Amino acid sequence: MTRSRGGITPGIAPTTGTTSATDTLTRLLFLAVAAAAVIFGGLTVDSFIAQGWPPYPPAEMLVWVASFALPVALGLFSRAPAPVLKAVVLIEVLLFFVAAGLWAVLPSPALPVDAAVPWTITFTGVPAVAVAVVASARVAWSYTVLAALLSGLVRFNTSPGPHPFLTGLADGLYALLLFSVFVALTLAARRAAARLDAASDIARRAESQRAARVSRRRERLTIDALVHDSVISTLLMAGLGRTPHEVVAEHAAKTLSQLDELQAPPVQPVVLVSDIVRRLTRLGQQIDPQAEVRLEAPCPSGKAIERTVPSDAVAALLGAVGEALRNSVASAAGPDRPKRPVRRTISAFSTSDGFQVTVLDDGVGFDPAAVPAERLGIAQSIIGRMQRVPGGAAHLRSQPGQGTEVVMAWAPNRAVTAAAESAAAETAGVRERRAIARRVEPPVPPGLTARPVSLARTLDHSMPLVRLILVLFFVVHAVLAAVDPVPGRSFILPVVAYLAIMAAAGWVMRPVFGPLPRVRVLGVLGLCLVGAVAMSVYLPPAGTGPFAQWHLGAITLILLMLAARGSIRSAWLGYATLAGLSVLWAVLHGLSPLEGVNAVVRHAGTLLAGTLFVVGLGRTERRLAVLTQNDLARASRDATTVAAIDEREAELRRVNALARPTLQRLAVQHPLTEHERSGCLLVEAGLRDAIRGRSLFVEPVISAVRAARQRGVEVTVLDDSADSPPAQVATLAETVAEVLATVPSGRVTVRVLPADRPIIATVVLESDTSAMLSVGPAGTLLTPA
Amino acid sequence: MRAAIRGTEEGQFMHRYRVALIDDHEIVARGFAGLFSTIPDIHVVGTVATVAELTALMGETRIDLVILDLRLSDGSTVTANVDQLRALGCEVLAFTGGDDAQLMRAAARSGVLGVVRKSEPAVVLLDAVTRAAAGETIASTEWAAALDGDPELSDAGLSPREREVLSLYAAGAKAPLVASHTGLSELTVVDYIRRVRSKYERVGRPANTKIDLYKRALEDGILPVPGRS
Repeated sequence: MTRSRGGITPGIAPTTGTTSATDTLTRLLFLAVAAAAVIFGGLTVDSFIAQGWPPYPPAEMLVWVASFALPVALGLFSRAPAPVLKAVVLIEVLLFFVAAGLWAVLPSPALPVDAAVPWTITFTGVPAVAVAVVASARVAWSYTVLAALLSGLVRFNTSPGPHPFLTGLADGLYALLLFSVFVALTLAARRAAARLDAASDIARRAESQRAARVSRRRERLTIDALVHDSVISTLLMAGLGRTPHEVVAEHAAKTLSQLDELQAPPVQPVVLVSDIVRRLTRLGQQIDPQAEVRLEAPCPSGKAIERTVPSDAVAALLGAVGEALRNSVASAAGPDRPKRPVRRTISAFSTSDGFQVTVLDDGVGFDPAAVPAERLGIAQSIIGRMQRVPGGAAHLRSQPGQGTEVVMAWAPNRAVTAAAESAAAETAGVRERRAIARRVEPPVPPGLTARPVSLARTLDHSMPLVRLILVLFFVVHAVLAAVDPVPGRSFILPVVAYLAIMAAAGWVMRPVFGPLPRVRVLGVLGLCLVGAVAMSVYLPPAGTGPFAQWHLGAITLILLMLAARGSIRSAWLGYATLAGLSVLWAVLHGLSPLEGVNAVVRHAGTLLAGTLFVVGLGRTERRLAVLTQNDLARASRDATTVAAIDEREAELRRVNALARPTLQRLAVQHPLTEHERSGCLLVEAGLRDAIRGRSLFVEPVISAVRAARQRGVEVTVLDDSADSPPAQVATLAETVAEVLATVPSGRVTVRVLPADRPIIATVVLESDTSAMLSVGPAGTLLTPA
Repeated sequence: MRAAIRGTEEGQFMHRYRVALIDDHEIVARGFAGLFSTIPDIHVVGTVATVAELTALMGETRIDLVILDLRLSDGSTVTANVDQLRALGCEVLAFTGGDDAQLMRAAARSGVLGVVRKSEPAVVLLDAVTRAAAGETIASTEWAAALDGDPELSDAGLSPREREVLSLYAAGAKAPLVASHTGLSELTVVDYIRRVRSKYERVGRPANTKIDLYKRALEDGILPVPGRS
């Protein structure tokens, strides 16, 4: 699987509906099945014509056509409903059993020696994979064993050679091995897709919850600040009686209009990330045509996230980028002549949390601590530009000889963190820019990044199944190599070939993190070459058994695994070498080169089918990663919007319900009575409770607090449980209300504690006597210790 | 902002402490200024809306205590405001409408003497300002609750006793009740809470961060570059 990195990729995948990885994979696998059917169907034409079917040729013709048409139909109509696809697979399987079953039980026809393998059992891998796509693992494996058995039986019944039993056994075993490899690949891919579905589902839910929480907090803070500054000030002004009533009225009117404005939040113009990248590219071309512009994705295999950025932030970003670039063009080449060449990159980075652009050059750099004033001025203007935008931040790092890096970011939720981190990074070198770049990366749950759906990682011999198949590989080839020894030749060469090829198989399946190391790829190919050369020297041109060329199949399977684990080019290079060797062998033995080609062409089919499978899977993985990212971003945006609107409306309703009537009365100029003044203070205290004592701002606490305050008790309600209020909040509220009802005068402080404490709340009474009461997790009073 | 220095030479002899208020709600601030002027030891030298205005107003004169609103409408942060004021040699007492624990923590990390709710009864406010002018820690319930509820409180390295005292203050207890609950003397309790304040402040600003902040403040032009002005 190749990875495309770098370059401009403004073409962000369109946001489509939620796609499950399993659905996508099923479609892909059926396409591979269709492709394999075409390949192997083509390869059986010769033997079909040579063999015919003695009892009733037209029937066999029909079976032959159907056997290939059905898998092709699966590929063409892979979007059909699952039951239809399953039915087609079932028909295909039945057809195979009938055709092969007849071959197995009917008296053997005399097959021509050059077409000794009945056509029905030459493409049995196709239905095996089709079954593995739709059925459970148990059914798939049962089918695999049954089909291999049947294949062996057919061969036993039809073999024209002297040892039909051995031929049947070897054929059955080899079929078992071949099917197992493809079935295992298919099942592994299905498991990976199911895992991805589960992980992205969890991620989506977690992400939207997180986003909802964040935005709820942010909205609350916005409203709180306003409530704070205006409503509370106005009420205090009125309540404390130190301010002329005309002034109070004026303030009350202003506050009311602020509240009204809040009800209709202004719509902010936004720009899409893909547009920003286009504008960045244009900007780069104007200032430094050599500068490379790229859009980086949050995860290596994915594409960038499409999102919106407020247009004022975009204006500041583009201005700052332009300035950083011009500054670099003016100074990075240094004062020497001739000018040193400078490479500049502009990388944009988009996540669900924000957007960031980094301008990097490998020029002469400078020491920001010992700065030429004019250059610091430019840096300051870049930083200042970004800081004036809400959520904007910029940072400059440079060292003499180490180039210069300017990071400009817009991250509305993380502005504070970003600033703190850039302070921490102040001393860090330019080399650590990766770490800095990650600071606006969204918190993707570990299930997604740590475990991408990659065949390279899902198949190695740390898995019991793979170990089993590997053992089968050793056994099958031992049998094949031993079945037809060439009379009168030393067994040293085939033993060397066997050992070399088996070592290659073991090595290629060893666990590895990431792509296969080059040494291993070369080593595996080298061992295969040793095996192939040894066999070529060993094999005579004629008079060998049907499995004499066993090494070709074995090496093909190894190459297939090489391809599956990411080294497709090396695999085909290996295959070309093998084919060349086969032709050379034929020519050296005085045969036609075509004989050499014939020996390997079947295996090309296997390798091609496998390659298509692997390439397609790699594409799907990348597409899924993008879809998942888009999905996440969308889930997050939706949750944010919904939560923000809900919260804004809830807060507004509360503030309006609590304070609006009082503010409206205050807005009408009149001297305030003592009663009105204390009423204002009561409302102010109520607002404070709503904000600072959130989880206790419920009945019966609200009424009890109000009653106590009217009696002259000074009540403070504090809630420090943050986002995780106690479970028994209703019981707690009743307890608190009961306690408040018993207090005649003095001070009462009720506090809900942070979630990690053994008690959930405390009540401190200070009247004639002082006491501190604790409330347990059940919401009831604990006996004071 | 119409602010005026009412300090005269005569005033400086009469009052021991010079106090200024920073609050963007001018009327409210004036009300408080009137209230605090009734304290014999205190001379309110001005009410302004921003730190910059106060700096301009101060000139060379000394101010002992600044009563600072936690949230100002000029977009400044409480951290930056307290930093500047303390760099000028003023102690700071924060005033608040009483809602935002996060802001209180930021203020406490920057080294304010305490945080007081504006809506407290006049007696409480007068007591707090009197004691703050003398440099004492003002451990209001809200301030203690904000510190006690800080998820990162463990960084401050408080002793178990200090944590216990802080929790009791956060629950709403005052020194006498805390003392009877813990079996300590009131003086010891007050001493504990002072230590809590200074430990919490230290955690907010390790030395390197402070230098970084200072550097940034120079870069931002908030502070004058030494030797240049």
